Amino acid sequence: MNAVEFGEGKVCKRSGSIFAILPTQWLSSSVLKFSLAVAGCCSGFPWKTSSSPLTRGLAASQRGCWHSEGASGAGSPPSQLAGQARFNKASTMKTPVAIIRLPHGPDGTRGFDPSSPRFQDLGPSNLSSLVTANPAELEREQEGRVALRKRYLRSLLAMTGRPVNFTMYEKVNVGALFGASDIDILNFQVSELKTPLGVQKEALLRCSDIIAYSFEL
Amino acid sequence: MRQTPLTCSGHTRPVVDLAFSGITPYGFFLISACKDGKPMLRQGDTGDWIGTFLGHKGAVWGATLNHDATKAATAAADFTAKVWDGISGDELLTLAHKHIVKSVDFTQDSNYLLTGGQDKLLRIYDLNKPEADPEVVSGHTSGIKKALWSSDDKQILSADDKTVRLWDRSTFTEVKAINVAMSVSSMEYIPEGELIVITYGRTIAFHSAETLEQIKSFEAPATINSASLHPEKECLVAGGEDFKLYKYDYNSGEELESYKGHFGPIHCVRFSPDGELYSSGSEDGTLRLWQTTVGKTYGLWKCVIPEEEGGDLVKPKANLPGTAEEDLEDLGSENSDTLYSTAPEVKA
Repeated sequence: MNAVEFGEGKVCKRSGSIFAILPTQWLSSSVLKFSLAVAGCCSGFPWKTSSSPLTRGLAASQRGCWHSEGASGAGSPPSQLAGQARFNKASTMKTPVAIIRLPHGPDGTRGFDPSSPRFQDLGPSNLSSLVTANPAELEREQEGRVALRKRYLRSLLAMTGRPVNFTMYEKVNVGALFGASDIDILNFQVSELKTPLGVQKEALLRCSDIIAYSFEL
Repeated sequence: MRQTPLTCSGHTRPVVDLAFSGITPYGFFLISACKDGKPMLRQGDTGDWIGTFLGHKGAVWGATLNHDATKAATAAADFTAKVWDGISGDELLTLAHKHIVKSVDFTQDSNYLLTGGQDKLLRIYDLNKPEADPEVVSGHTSGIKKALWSSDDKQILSADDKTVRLWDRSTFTEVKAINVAMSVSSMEYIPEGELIVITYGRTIAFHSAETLEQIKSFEAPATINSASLHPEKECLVAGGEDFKLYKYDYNSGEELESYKGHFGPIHCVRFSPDGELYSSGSEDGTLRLWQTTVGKTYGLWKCVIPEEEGGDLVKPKANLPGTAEEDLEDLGSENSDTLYSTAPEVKA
C-alpha cells in the first residue's frame, strides 16, 4: 500500500463537507487496511436502493476511505463509479423551491377590498358628508380634516432628529432617529436604526409595516 | 433547484391574454383576460386575486392596464371594449364596436385608448370625451389580432393574420407594412430599444419597431403562441401548443430551460416589469407565475437552506452548473483547496 501524505483540513469535493484528514503516518497500517476493505465492499453496494442506518454509516466511512483510495490510485475506479452514481442521483433529484403559501384565489365576491391600502389612498372620497351632500356640513368636515392634518404634519416636524420607537409587525420594536417622511407618508427616513443585527446608519422604513410609533417631546 | 410555479386559479375557461402594469407605490399588478368573460386583477408579485371586473357578456379576448393600474381596459366578444376603474372595479365606459374586439391599449398618459378587432378597423378613443366618435384607421384586410401604441404614442403597430403594419398617429396613414409567413399569434412592443417581438408558427422573431425590419429570429420545437422579452433583454420566454414554456438566451438563441406544468396549450406569456418573474396563461384556465432566477427569495418564493444529515456543514445553495461532472475528473488531485458547492446529497 502506498503511504500517502494528506494535508490537514482537505475538502472532500463530493460532499462539500470538510474533513480533517489525518496524515497517514498517524494511522496504523491495520486501520488503513480495514478502511480499504470497507471501501472495496462499498463500491459494489447498491447505492440507489439502500437507506438503512447501517448503509448510511458505511457511506460515511466510505467518504473517508475515498481519500486513501483515490490517492493511492489502486482500486479508485470502483469508488469513483459508486460516487458518480450517487452524485447523478443527487443532481437529478433537485429540491423544488420552497413557497410560503399559494396565491389567494377569488372568494366569490367581486373583490376590490375597500380596506386595502390602495383603495384607501386612491379610491373614491371617504367623506361621510358627501352622502348627505350638505354644503355646510361638508365645509365643517373639511375644516376638521384640515386642522387634524395640520396637527399631524407639525408632529412630524417636531419629531425630526429625535429618538423614536417604532412598533412594527412580527413583534418588531426598533428605535431610531427620525429624519423625514416622504410626501405621501409612505416611507420614513431614519438614522441610527437599532436592529437585532446591529445599528443601521441610514434606513428607510416602510410605513405600511409600522403599527405605531412614539417619541418624547 | 427545481422551479416551483405558482398556480393562480379562479378562471373557469381558457386564459387568452395577460398584461402587467408598471411598478406603482403599491407594487405591480396583473390582469388576465379569459373566455369566461370575467377578467381578473391580481397582485403582480404574488398572484393574489384582488378583484374581478364584472360586466362583459362574452369571452374577453384582450385586457390591459394603464401604467399605474388605476384603469383597466378589456376587449370582448360581445362587440364592446370596456374601461374599468382599477381601484374599485367599477365599469367606467362601454365602447360599442361592430364586431368582436380583440385588442386594447392605453397611451402612457392614459388619455387615449386604442382598440382593434375583427371589423378590421383601428379605433382611437379620447377617454376624456367618451361620447365623441373615435378616430378610425382602416387598411387591414383581415381581422386585427393586436394593436399597440409605439414610438412614445406617436405611432401605432397593428398585426393581423398575415401582416404587421406601422401607422402614423397624427395622419392616420400607413407608414410601413411587412408580410409574415404564417398567421401572427402574438406581438409585444418593447419601448427601450424600439423592438417588437412577433410569434408565428414555430418562429419567435424580433423586428425594429421603427422600420419593421427583422433583427433576428429563433425556431422553437413546437408552435409558439406567445413570447416575451426580459426587460434587460437577457432572455426571453415563449409558450405554445406543446404545453411547455421555453426560456432562451436572447443573444445566442440557445435554449436555456424548458418547463412543464400547464395542462393545456399556453396562450400568453409576459415578463413582469421588474423582470423577476413571468406569467403564463393557458387553455387549462390557470395562470402560472414562474421565477426568472430560480431559488431566489421573491414574492411567495423563499430561499431555504436545508440542514444536512450526519452533522455535515450546511452548504450554500448556489447551484454551480457543471460541478457534478467536473468533480469526478478532479478526484485524483487532492491538492486544490477550493470548496465546491453542490446540490444536497440524497442519502442512498
